Amino acid sequence: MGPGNALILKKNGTITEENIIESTSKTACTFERIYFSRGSDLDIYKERKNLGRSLVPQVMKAIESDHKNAVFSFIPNTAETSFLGLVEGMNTLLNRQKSKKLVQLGTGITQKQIEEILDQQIRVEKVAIKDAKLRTFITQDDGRDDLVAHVYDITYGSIVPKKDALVMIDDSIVRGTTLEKSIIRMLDRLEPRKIVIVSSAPQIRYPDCYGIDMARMGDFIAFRAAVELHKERGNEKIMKQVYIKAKEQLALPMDQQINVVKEIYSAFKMEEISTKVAELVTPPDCKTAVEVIFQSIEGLHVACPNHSGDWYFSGNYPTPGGNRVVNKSYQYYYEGNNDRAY
Amino acid sequence: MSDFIKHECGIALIRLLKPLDYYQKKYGTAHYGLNKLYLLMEKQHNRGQDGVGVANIKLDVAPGKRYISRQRSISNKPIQDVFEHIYKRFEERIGENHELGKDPYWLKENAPFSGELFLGHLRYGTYGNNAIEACHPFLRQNNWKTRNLVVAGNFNMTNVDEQFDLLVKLGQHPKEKADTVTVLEKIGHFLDVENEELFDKYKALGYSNQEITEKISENLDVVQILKNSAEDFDGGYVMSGMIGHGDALCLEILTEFAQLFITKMTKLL
Repeated sequence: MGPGNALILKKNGTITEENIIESTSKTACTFERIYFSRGSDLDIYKERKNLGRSLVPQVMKAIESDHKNAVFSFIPNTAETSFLGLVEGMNTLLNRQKSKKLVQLGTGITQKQIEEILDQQIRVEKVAIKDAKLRTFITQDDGRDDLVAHVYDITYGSIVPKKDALVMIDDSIVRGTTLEKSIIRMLDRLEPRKIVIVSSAPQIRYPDCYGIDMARMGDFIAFRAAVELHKERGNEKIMKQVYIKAKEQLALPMDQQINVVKEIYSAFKMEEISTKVAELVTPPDCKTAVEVIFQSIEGLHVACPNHSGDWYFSGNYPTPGGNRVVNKSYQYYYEGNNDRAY
Repeated sequence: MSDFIKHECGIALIRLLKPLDYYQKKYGTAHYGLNKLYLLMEKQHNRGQDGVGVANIKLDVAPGKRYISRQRSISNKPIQDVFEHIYKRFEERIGENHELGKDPYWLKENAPFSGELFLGHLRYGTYGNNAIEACHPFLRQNNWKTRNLVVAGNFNMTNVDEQFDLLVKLGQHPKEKADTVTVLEKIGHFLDVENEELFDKYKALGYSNQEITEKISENLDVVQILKNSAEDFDGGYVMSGMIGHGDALCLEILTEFAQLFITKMTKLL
């Protein structure tokens, strides 16, 4: 349907699409594309693959271009499609390298050399397995943290210990709790050279008061990372400054408010926050180095060109109520109030 | 997805454009719409897990007969629970005479959920607890058919307080400050206004009250009701509703059509 439109089904059987709310643009939720919607829809399938594919350069950097000693896998189940895109992108890159080598070796190339080059493949394994039934149960249980560690299991022997980097893609990282309490601990048992966690979504930095129910600032691992970075750099005073500004904003009418929480993030590059996220989700007793890679907001929009709603990543809310929600959410965070901001 | 992020609600709206008899003959069941509703809701199972509700409206039912059915559940398997309950009610009505279950005219006259308009909702609660009362569809009942409103939504409103105050200013007494109640009552208010205006218009033209009921049914301006109601909603939503006489609506803001399924005639759009 067009922006602000409704379907009207009259008793006589006529169905029409009518404009109800004047709207200049349609800012439909991208998180629907990344995670919620059924992946069997062709556009969503393609977009999720694009999300994975667009992460290839960052992943290559993380594994120092050493694909021979890297195993690729995904967090089940919804990240499977972006994983396919990532692997396709890696294969394309590898094929370019292969053809370059073949050309370099020229006409004197032997069959053995050709086979050695062509046999190089991106290594893909099914590393993590999810117990869906356990998850269904614990989502209804307030004491679920104790059980989180058992939601996933791993395939032992799927990588070469101490030698392989393990690249795991997930569709998003919101709180990072499951990464810390379950996934990274579990992957550490495989003793990889390095664990690279890849998020097909950008850093979730702001509450979503429209679709996904994310009401509390303190829940977001990206926010916690930014706060930690300010502390490390002796710049904690910004927390209070933003609090005062948020309160000032909240005193204004809804449609005059701006999102002042952006100031918490503006001092940092995306990569700085990603590095801090990696530190926060690495359990203290983890022996393996952990790197976390996020999709860029630009990469998201290239992958999902028809859906521009990105407020949870960018802080650009499509309605005035969103700015009020983010300011209130920050106020509650600063005051230690666990209430919902909407 | 490794984080325990909770899901959005799901909605399914079905309008059968042919009489039940058509579906009985073509597909061997007069419960074609209900079966499709079940399928559409199961396909959205990943969304709501807190509760489920379905409602049905029968068109052109004679006075004295019920025409709105609703069933809701907050059990551990709410979809299964709701549909098991509905089919059990069919069995109870039919009794030993199994042929009655194949008679669309008898079903429409005697069994619930045998109408042409269906609305289903899978709930993930953001407001309130998981009580059955919090499950959609919400129902606003009235003895005038065209004032009955059934609403189900997937939404978060950021300005519930303002919407609530608006209802109070109108002189209403909302029973709670929940976004669903506020939205239902606001649409309901403008549905009432539209009814009153049409009643006055046709009364002045000399129509009888019974004729006016038909006139309202034919001329209810659903677009205007929605424009008046949603003008200052601030949030993201898919809102779906049915009006007692058989009109239905679906409005989406900031969300994605993929979560909305409409069945037109016998073909899934």
